[in-house]
Amino acid sequence: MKFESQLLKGIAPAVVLEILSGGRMYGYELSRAIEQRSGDILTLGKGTLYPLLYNLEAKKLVRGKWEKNQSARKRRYYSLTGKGKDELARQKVQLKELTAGLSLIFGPALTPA
Amino acid sequence: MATEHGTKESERLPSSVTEFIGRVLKKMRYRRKVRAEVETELVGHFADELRDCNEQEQKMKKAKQLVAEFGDVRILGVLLRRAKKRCRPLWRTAIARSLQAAGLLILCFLIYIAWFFSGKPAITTDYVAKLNNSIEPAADESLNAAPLYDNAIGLADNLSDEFLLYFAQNHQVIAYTEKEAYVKGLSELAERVHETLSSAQDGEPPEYDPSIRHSVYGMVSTHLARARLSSGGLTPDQMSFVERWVAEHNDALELVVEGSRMPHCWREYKSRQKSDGWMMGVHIPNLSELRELGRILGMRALVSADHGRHEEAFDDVIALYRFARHIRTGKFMVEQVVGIAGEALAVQTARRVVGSYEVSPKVLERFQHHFERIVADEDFSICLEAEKLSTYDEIQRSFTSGGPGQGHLYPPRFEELFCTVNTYRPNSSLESFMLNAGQYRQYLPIFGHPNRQETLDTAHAIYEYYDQLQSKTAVQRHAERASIDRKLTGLLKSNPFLQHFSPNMVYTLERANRLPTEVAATLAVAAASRYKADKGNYPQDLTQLVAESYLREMPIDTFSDKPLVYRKSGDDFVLYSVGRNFTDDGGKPGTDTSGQPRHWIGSGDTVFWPLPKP
Repeated sequence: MKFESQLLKGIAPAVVLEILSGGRMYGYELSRAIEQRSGDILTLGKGTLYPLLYNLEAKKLVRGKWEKNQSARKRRYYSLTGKGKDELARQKVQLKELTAGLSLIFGPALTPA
Repeated sequence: MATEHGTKESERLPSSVTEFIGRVLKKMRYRRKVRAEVETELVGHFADELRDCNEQEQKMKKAKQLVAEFGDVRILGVLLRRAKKRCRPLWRTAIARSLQAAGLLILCFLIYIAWFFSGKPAITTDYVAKLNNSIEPAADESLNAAPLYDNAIGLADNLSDEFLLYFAQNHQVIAYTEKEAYVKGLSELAERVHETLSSAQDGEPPEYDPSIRHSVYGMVSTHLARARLSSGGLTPDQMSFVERWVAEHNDALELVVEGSRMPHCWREYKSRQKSDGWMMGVHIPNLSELRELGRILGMRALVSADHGRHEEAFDDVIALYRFARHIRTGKFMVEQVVGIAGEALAVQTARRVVGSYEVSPKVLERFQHHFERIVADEDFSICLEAEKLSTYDEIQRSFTSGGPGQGHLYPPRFEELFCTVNTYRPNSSLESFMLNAGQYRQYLPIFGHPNRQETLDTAHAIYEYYDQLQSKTAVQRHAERASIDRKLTGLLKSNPFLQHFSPNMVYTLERANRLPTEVAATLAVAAASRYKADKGNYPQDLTQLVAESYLREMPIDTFSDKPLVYRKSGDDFVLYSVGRNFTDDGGKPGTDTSGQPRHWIGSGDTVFWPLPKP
């Protein structure tokens, strides 16, 4: 589903950090993982993915490293840093509170069918 | 740009994708290595996305869709660049910021330079015309002495053939020194005259090279001037030469005497640069020739005295004094200095006549009274009008006008005044670089130099201060010397331009202060000599001369602000000024390096009487 860009803008970093908390991934792999784990509900725009990853790397929340996979292809794998884990935990708390607040406002309308 | 692996993968991608990636990287505009990494990632991403497309058409369609999903090329390029910039390490960021700051500073400096060099001086005032306008002819041109003096100069160096022959035969008597170079110069010139004479046809006048007359005039003038004739002690041969020299110039001297009787002397100043009145280009015509005519007139006075014609001698002394005072009425300081020297020569010659010859009291009295009338209420101050206008003229020519450049010192003028050209040829590129750096460094002071208005204000202040100094006596200036030096240094130290163009007023004032003392001493000598002739001995002190009306007033020493020191000494007397050291040395005269007594030397007193021994 295509969401309003402003709606996704704030949670995209948290989503990426959560996916990477499960293990290192390269860009395409991460993009696919987001779609699969969100049941194709969330789609991170291709034009947003790499700038986001580089920004997270600049903030030292993720670490990028070039590796060759089994097929000898060179890919840049991103993994969560300690600082990234702390940030993820912090953002999870915030999201939890946000979800709770929204649930109180919208009530059952927010519960998936 | 791409890595080897990336290149292989991108070759398998549709052209729309490789083209898209190429445009994104181009928009990114970042370091090559970083762009190569981004390219590898993007190529890998597209390769992974299109991996499952087996058919070409399907692949092309998917590729097109992916490209659309990636979004606008420009926006993506910008986002990627910003994100990668944030990834760079701190040291790289610091270097980049430093280079940006340096670049900004250089840009500002270049803009400043362009602005600075864009202005040009504007010449708005013709200061030569202004100077000439300040010279109001006091009377009809028929009462102006200047044309007579110009005519005298025209006669002066047009030496006769007879005199050239006399010079060639007698030149050796006037050598003022035994130094070989100077004696050789005289001999060589005499030789040239002999050669011309010997090459003349029988009965025909010799055809002298036009420069010979001028060279002989200059050579004789120099040697006679250096011989210090006013100090006396000439041999009979030397005296004969002087008489011959004086006779050669009699017609010119008569014009000078006639001119000296005129009440006024003025001339129009003309600049070599006629179009816009450049003050520094003003030609002060014939100043050295006028000075030489004054010397010859002084020689004539001594020759007349030597032949017992004392009245004629004093007439020439008076004429010389008036002539020199006419020169001193010139607006330029150099004219005034030459005039002061001429007046000093006149009074020194008068004292020489009084001291060397038995002059009758009647002649002395006539001379003294005549001279007193001439010097009564004489203004001995220095006029700085021309120097002031010259400074203002140089300011308008050397600083940019308002507008671009805003009154800064004009660089070509700065170069002309202060920079030296290095003619050394460098042997290497390093030497060449160092040489150029040193050459350009000379220009650095131009950026901190005071601007036009500040320089004008400082010039006003300096000339106002010079006027204040003139109102002080020499004694007061001596007492305040340290503060005067501090004041002048303070005014000038941050203005190299004015340091270059300001006149040396303190020294000139000191020279001007000598003249009234010389005049007072001469009158005192004449009065004392008359007293002795009447009473049989010299007075006990100067007050006697005033009390008995031999002198109108006490002769004042400008270097002590007190009367000249007079001391009766046996059958003679001593009369002196405390001199330039402002200290009474008991009448001990100052001497030069060869031990000869000299007036107005830095040490010792200036003794007017008795006359120094030859």
